[in-house]
Amino acid sequence: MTRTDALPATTHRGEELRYVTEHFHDLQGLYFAWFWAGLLFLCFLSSSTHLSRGHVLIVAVSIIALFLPVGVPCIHAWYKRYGMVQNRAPEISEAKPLSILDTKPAPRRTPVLFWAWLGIWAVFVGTGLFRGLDAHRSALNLWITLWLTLPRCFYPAPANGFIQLRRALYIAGSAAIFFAVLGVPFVPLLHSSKWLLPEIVCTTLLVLSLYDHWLLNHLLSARPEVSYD
Amino acid sequence: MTEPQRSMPEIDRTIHEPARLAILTVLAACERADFLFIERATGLTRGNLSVQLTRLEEAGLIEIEKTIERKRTLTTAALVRRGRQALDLYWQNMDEMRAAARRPGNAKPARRFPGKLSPASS
Repeated sequence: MTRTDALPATTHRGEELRYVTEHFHDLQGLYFAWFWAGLLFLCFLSSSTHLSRGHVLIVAVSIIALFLPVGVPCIHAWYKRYGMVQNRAPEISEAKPLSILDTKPAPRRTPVLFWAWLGIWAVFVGTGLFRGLDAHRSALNLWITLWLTLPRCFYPAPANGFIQLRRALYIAGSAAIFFAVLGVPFVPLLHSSKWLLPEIVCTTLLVLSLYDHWLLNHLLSARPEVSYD
Repeated sequence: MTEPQRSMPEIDRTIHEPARLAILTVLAACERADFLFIERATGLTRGNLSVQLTRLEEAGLIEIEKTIERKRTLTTAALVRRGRQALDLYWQNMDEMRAAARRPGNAKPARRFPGKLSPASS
């Protein structure tokens, strides 16, 4: 095989390398998975039992109190085995394919935006849902969730089946959330079914987060030395 | 030497080596990455990666920083400005080479030079 024959293979591998480096933080799905799993648990708890709002709040606070000192360090230690990459947010470029020819550095990731989003989410959705009175208005606030999923539908992806599947899952997840929320004003929700929408949204986001985690593990898992020749 | 071969752009051998190209591709996509991540991402062995990183540093394409974190040495690497420019130029030259290979009349070279890139065969 001549060296120029090897070029497409090198380019393909290079695109994967670029993707996993750019999306290293983005693919650490366990950080999000606990949040969606916890919220899903609270939704099930609220829908299947007749716990008062006060009890649900106590359970929520207990989950957070348990997770912050135990869960976060465990997740942090898990992802540390993959090493460290200094932050750089992947760019959503219009119709621009992912390319190793592009050596321009991407802009810095701003964690402030994420925490601002989480704050807005907690205030609008969390309080709305667990107040348990105005399910319609609370469900409409789930639009905010699309802020998380939509950008990931547009990031350029290399020709790798699992990475393409990630994008497909995000597109399907965004569509599911979009249509679920869109349908809320037209479907009168009964008291017993008012938890269905948040359950759908949380399940969708939990699946996406777990897939992200699996994908990072798959792309960076230990393997015999790769031959680039 | 035939005309197409004479007009071939120079290819930087330091960058062209596949393992080093993989390392530079990783570093081009971030500000700084540590040894462990580069090892995981590229799939190179520790020994090979260490050698390649040293070569890249000697060529002035990357900078390597060693810091102590919780009594352990953390080795990180970053692409320097010169390295980014060199990588840009490398891809530009490769593109030109690919374009030259696609030009009519370059389909089959009269003679091959071992060790040299032969775009006409792609």
